[in-house]
Amino acid sequence: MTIALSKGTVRKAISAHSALGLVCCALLYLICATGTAIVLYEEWQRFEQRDAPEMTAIAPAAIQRGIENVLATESDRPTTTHLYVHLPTEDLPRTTITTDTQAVHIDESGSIAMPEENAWAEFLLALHYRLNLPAVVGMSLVGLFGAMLVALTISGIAAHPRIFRDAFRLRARRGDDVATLDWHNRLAVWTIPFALAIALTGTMIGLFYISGSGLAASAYGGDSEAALAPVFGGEPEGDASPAPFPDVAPTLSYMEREYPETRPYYVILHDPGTAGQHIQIVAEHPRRLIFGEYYAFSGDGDFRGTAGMADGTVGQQLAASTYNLHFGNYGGLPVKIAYILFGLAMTTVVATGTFIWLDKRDRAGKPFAYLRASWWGFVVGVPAGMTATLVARLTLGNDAQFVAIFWSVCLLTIISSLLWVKQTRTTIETSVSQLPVE
Amino acid sequence: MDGDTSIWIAATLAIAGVAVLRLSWGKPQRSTILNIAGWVTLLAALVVGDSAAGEWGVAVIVLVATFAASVALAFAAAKPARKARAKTIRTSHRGSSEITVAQRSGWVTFLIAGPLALVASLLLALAIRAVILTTGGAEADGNVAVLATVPVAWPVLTFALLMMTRRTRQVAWIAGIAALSASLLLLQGGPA
Repeated sequence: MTIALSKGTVRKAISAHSALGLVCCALLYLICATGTAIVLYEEWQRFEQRDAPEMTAIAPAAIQRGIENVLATESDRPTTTHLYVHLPTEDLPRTTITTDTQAVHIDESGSIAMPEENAWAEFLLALHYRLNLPAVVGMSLVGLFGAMLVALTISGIAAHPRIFRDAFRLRARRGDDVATLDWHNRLAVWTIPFALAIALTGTMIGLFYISGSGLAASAYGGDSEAALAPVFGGEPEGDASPAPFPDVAPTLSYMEREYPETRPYYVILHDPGTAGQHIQIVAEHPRRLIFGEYYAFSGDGDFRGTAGMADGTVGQQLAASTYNLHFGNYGGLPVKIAYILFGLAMTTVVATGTFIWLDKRDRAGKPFAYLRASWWGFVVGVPAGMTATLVARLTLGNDAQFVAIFWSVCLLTIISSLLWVKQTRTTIETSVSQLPVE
Repeated sequence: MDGDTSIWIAATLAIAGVAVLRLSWGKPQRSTILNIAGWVTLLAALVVGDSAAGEWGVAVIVLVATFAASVALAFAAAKPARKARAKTIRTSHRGSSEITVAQRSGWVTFLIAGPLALVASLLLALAIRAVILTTGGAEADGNVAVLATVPVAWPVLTFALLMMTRRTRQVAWIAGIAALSASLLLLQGGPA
């Protein structure tokens, strides 16, 4: 099957594809590589702190004891505005309580076991999510590159007139420019549905600060929370007057009784210790792409209703599905393995795309030796940087300077690659100049 | 039939669909029947996946089909390849650098295809929200439409603009989308 596009259109599409690719390649490569690694976010957390208490389930009374124990350690400071209890899941079978100022693991009895130490997984997530930059700038940049990945996918399809006919043609063992081109085209073609799903959901998340702010400015007087309230539900009116801390055990028992098919994995206390406090339980719905449904309870434990993530409007369900679809945590380890494989494929596509452009320059007799060396350095540097930070986590601990280590390694690999090329060129030039002249 | 069985059937259909397409596209001559059979089998896999587990089923079946294609590609990669002279390599990249485009600034192209296209896409997204609300749609759907439209509209517009050879045409498209969207927003009467 051949898509009938004129030669001129195909050439213009290649030109657009090349221009977009060259502008975006470096950060897109970084985003794809870190995105592939972060598929195992939960597993990395377990690996980082292997001695944290693990359990398949925890009793509601033990959770309540855990909350009380954590709040007791904070009695000397202002009460946390929010308290999150992560309940044991298949991917992360730990109970962790996070407040405004700390995060601790608790054991099956509800006693505080140890502080949560997952700085490397958080670093990796932040590198992917916002390039370790402030959230507004970093997330918007990542969203921007996600959008360009969509544009690259569209232009790539238009630039490839024999897209289906050649879909299974991979001359990898040639080991030359054709092999590079085949790797790029075949992996890109077969990962189109995956790439579009990842890029569109990633862009939707990343561009929130732009599109959400535009929405808020145009219709909600600049209030972003008000713009999101119809989708994810709003915060009830607060009342700061003191009140006893709530008991979450009855709410969890209610969930077990009334929604046995769901799996609660987060308990959230809003404004604990105030008369306006309320409880939210986030529960996973098996075989759904949604991250879960919000089940709202009053401070007294009375059920108030759901937000509509599971059965609300199409828009609500779509919004609730973006996160899982992007990160691949909707089908256990098999889906995660698939995401890693296809994520690696996308990373390879981005890397080879620039090499194809460089090969083309070589064939045209206008090589960019140092640019090629820099690209090699970066392509090697990103995984090397991630590995170096992981080694730093294991040897130096949770407080290692991951950002500095990562970028230093990237810079070093680029410089090494450039020096190697310079050395090789000097050696060749010297050899040529020493050849006898006839 | 329970959901598990249906998902397994859908997965089998997805693998079969990819296998049929592999067979079809590997033939020296086109086979319309095999092509149609392959695509219909893949479509059937998606339909069964959807009926078994909705959007979750579709997502899983897409992964299965992609994985099956990856396995076929792995076999192709392992096969010895005949090495041809570089100049005989057929690639659609040939001649792409020969396009004669009027001399123009890369920065202006960047400005048009980047920030200006983003602004036009955002206005379009807000206009779609206005249309949804005006026609009685839910506020949540309208708001999510804004968040979901920008990631689609912006890259499509960027690609379309980069395909245009004349600057005036690029500007006309941006201005046209922005003006049309703005007028829809004004007709709605401003903020909802």
